[in-house]
Amino acid sequence: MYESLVQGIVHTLFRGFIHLEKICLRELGYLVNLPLPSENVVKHIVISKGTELLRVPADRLMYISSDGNYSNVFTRDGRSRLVCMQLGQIEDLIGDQLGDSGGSFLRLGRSLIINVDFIYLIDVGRQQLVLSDCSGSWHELTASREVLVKLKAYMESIMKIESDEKN
Amino acid sequence: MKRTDEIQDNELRVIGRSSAGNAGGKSRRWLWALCFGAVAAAVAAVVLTRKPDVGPVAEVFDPSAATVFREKAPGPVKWLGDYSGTDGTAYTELIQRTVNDIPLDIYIPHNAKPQLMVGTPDICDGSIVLVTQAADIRADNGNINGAFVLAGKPMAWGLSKKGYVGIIRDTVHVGVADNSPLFEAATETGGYFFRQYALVDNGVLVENEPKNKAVRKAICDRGGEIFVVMTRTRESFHDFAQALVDLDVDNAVYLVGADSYGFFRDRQGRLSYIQATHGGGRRYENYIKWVKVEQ
Repeated sequence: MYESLVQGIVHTLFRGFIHLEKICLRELGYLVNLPLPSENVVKHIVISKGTELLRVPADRLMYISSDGNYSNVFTRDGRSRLVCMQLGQIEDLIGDQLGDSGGSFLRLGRSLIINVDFIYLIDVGRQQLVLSDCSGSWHELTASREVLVKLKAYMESIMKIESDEKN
Repeated sequence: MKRTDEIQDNELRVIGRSSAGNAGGKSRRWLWALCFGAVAAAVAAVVLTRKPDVGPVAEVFDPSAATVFREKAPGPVKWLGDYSGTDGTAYTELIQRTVNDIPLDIYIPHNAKPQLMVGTPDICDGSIVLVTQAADIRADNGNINGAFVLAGKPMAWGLSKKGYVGIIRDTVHVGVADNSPLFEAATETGGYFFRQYALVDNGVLVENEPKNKAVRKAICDRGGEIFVVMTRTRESFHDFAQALVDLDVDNAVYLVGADSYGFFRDRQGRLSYIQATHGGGRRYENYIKWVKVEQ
């Protein structure tokens, strides 16, 4: 009774905005099993500034490096693109656009945002971080020893959580 | 207000996950319900209290709102150049002054519009009345140091130095800023933009890291008058900037100094070198030039 009343109110509020209605209902917990239209679609990170709009599939974005007030966006195909936006602004933007699924992206210090899915090697001793898709795209990055120690610990904790979930 | 810029080099942050982790589903639902209630109330309030549309919103970059330097409006300081000529001849006036025991050559272009160029300027091109090197070239890769826009086309990005020169619709803007809308304005209007060391910011001396002495050169705005100043002796950044402040310059940005190539044409059309030695050969060697305005 109460649930149908809430659904009715939401339906009235968002009449004509099916997507918003579904988001609302799902968040309210009454439509848990109904997938949103975009859920099976690859999520994109959209960086729009000035006269340019850059649209990158989130799972193809390897890392972003800071270049003063600008940032370099490196994608899996080996290309890079300079955008007129500070790294902090892009971090905000990824958080806003990807929400919880932005958890694949980590801010490492002041100069890097990386996609953890592409971490190939963390070498604390040599202060080296290698990102690779193991099929041609290979980026050797440097980061502070402290941040690499934290990154290694983070990846190990993720691995442990995944392992516990399987068991 | 987000505070994502507040991070140290030894810190790691997961993006898109709040530090509170996953709050309980129930409290989250109530939070969402409250949000949607607030949104619904706001929408209703807007619909019920809607007023007629107001006028157009101002542009992001409104050139009329910025300081325009080339207008010959009488200012508080007397201009250095002689503007009595009315025949429209394009030329460069050379004035010599000594400020704080520093001998200065002051090059004032007349009836000419500023542009940037990449490559070696053509000395036989009679339309060029003044040309001198503009942005620095990086020693490691030969690219232009800092943001650079050539006729609307961005050729380099980055903030290496805080001083900037923007040329928008033939108007020179000299200033100091981390972010300047003039970069975008230059790309949108077919203008020009480059960065260099800031020397004077609104009449205040700007300190710079390099402490060596060399022949110094700068583009200056003094009460709306735009000119290039060069020292005839080797000076430090500090002493040069102080001399410009004492010359009542409002804003000044450094130009490639030392023995950088350049030349000018006087009122009689005679060509003189500012510096005849041409290093040459660098792919992105760039210049600011003043060319004759077509009548």
